[in-house]
Amino acid sequence: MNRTRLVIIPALAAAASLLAAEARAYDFTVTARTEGQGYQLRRYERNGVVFVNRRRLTQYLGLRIYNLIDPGQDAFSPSSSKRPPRLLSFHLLMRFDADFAGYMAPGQSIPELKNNIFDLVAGGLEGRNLLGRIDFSLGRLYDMELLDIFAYDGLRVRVNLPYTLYAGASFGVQVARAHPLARAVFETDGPCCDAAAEAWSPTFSAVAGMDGLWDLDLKVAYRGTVSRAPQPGAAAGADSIWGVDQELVYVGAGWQVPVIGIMPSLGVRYNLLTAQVDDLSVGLRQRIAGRHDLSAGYLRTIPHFDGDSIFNIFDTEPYHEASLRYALRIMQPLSAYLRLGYRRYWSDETEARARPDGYSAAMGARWRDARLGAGLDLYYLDGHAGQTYGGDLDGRWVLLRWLTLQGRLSLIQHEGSGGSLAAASGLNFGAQLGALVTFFEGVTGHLLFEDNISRQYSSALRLLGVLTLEVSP
Amino acid sequence: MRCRPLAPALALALALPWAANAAPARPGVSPVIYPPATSALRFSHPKHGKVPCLRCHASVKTSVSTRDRNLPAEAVCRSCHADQTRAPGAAPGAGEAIAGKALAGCRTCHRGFSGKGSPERAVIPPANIRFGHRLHLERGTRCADCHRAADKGEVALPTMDRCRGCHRRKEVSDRCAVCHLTGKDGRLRTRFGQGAALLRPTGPEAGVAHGPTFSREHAAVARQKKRLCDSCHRPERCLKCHAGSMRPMSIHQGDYVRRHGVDARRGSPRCSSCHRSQSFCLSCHQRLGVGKETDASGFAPHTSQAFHPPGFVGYQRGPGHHAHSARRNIRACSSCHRESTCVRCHGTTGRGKGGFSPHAPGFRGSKKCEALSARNRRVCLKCHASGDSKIECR
Repeated sequence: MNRTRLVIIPALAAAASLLAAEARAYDFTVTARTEGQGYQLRRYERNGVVFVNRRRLTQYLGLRIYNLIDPGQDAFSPSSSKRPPRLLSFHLLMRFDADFAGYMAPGQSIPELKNNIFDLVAGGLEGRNLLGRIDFSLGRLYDMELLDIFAYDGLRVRVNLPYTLYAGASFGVQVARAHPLARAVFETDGPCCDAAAEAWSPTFSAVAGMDGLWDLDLKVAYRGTVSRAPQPGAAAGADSIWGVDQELVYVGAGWQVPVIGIMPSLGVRYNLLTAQVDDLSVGLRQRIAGRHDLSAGYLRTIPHFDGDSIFNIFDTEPYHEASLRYALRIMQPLSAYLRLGYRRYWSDETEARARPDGYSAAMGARWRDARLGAGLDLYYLDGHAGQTYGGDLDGRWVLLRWLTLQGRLSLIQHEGSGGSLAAASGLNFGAQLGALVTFFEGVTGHLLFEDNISRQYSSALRLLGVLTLEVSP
Repeated sequence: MRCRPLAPALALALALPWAANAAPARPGVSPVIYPPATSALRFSHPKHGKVPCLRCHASVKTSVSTRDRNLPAEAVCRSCHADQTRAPGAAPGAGEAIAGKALAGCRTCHRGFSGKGSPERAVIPPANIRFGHRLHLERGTRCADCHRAADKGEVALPTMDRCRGCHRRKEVSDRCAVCHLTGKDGRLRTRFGQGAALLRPTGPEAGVAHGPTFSREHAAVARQKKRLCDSCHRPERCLKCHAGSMRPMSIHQGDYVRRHGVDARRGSPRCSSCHRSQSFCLSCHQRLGVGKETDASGFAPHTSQAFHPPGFVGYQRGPGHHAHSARRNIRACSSCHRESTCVRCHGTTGRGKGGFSPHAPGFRGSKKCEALSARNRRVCLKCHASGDSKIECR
């Protein structure tokens, strides 16, 4: 694997530099972002707190080349054709994450969890409105068509049809931690450290729907991912067999009813692998007089895992959640909200410890204009593992054109039930102070200090520094 | 006691620079699209209601951009108002008409102007949209269609709802980029100048309004109207939080690591939307010796530091048994344990020691069993040996 990376990384860098050299005739943007963090992890035991240092350095490097083809004259004018301008661009976003953290005991590292990884976050060609109708992306891509975020290397095409109808398809290989330039961020949870986890997983998806015809959005999407791997327990050299890692169908709809403006919505995901609806959501939303936003929702969800995971076969139950939200725009920069939630967990009579109910409530207000941002949030959350309640006061003040100050105060009480959760319980006061400085156009620095106080410790300092550079002709 | 006078003084000191620099937003419209204007001019549209709009704003007939200054020059005002500079303090509207013209002194229009030097100039930044008056006039749009008089007959700036309503009625494209300014990649510009407020959707369309709780509730919109999201955001924008390397303070406030266990067991917010249990969670737990998969665990079973309560593992499935936790939220288990932990006891002959079935009652013969078995036989073989009679669903 290391040898593969040794070949691919320089090849990719060479390809990128070649493209960059050719890009002089086009618009381009080069971005670099350096993040440094220092803090301590803490383990709460009955006898006290154990500290482990964590230092992280993350470097992003991005390149975007725009307008690889002529978008067409006067493409944005309403007097021109209704067809939107055609756009073709190339982009790369790479990341190196170096973790200088310690361990409770040296030498305990699990190899597949190592964090010092160079990965390609996103990249490839992106075309929009080609031939007036076709969007495509080629490279490392992300889909959100079926609720979860899914990463793959491949091609995605969408054809925009008349009457806001569209159809699309994609195929490629799922991004898995075992692959070059990849990190396990969106890989489906489940198997670990076996041949199936290392296998390449071809994936295919299809989607069709309409985007606002008579104010109705409708979507049907399918995704299947398969892999070929040896049977568990088989002798070395035995034939591999195909297996489905993921197979999902999603149907979603949302409608803004004319005249009355009420917006019902529905989303259903059926997991073909487990033959069950693993996510169902129903919502209703109404805006009144342009200022009052009222919504109600119901959610029923159950976790799903990779097809190779035995977590799928366990006896698991969904939880049900109902929520009610109200938001009010009091005046132009000032808004307020209230959110209430009720969650019903599975429970039975033998489980005396657990409560079947969980409640949540949150309310707050926010002022947001060009120079000043401030917010107050109060919240309460409980469930079968404990409860959390507290409040936050945060602010942002553009003091000068090149200097923005930020701050946050948090006072939070949490009570966990049982074991280490109980040991970590208590009141916590946190304060943050940060500054965003624009040194030059395109060069910004962000510095943040955070300290926390609780009954277990008198100080827990966290430092964060970010330097961002954006170069564009 | 000594601090008491400091508090209001400090508050005043903090508030003053902001208040002094703040220009009033224009009522009813987005201050990002129409940046706040400052003007010392005294003018009332209702009092000029009988004057045709184009008599004063004649330049709109050729205007193709919001950068065009379409306010009348003083000479245009003078065509109606006679000079009364000899009486600069005269009240507006006072005095006799000269040759059919109303008298006007400096202060009639220039509020607070003493007559010396130059009057304060009106600063009206251009609207941050793509708009041409000429085109709209040529298409038969009347001034009042967009600037329909609001309360007391004052002229209003058009809102997006009004623009879209007209575009739809006249079957003109209502794509975002027709009116909104775009960047190099065709996506809408959302920030106009350093430190400026972001352009955020506030309209009612399908719940995309970026209100105070949108960051927690955007999932439904993101999956249903991804193309709409794409019109402003690059796909990588999602990754800033969803695959981010930094803790978003607005989501995980204060010392979140300390209390995350409560949320993780509750499953709220849905941790898996940003964190993969078996890499993100497990790697940190492993460092701290919280997880089972390390010899350095400080929470070893059957010790005073045991992570789980007594009776969590055992033959008797009583209160507090791990089966309940797993049934409620197995994702929480997977943040510390790997499959091998389960197989040790749940695996059948040749795989594990116990063969305790983790399946739901009636699993054998169920649709779930058949679907899993048909689609991925490998998962069955993790706990069952290939010759195991219990491996079949029927």
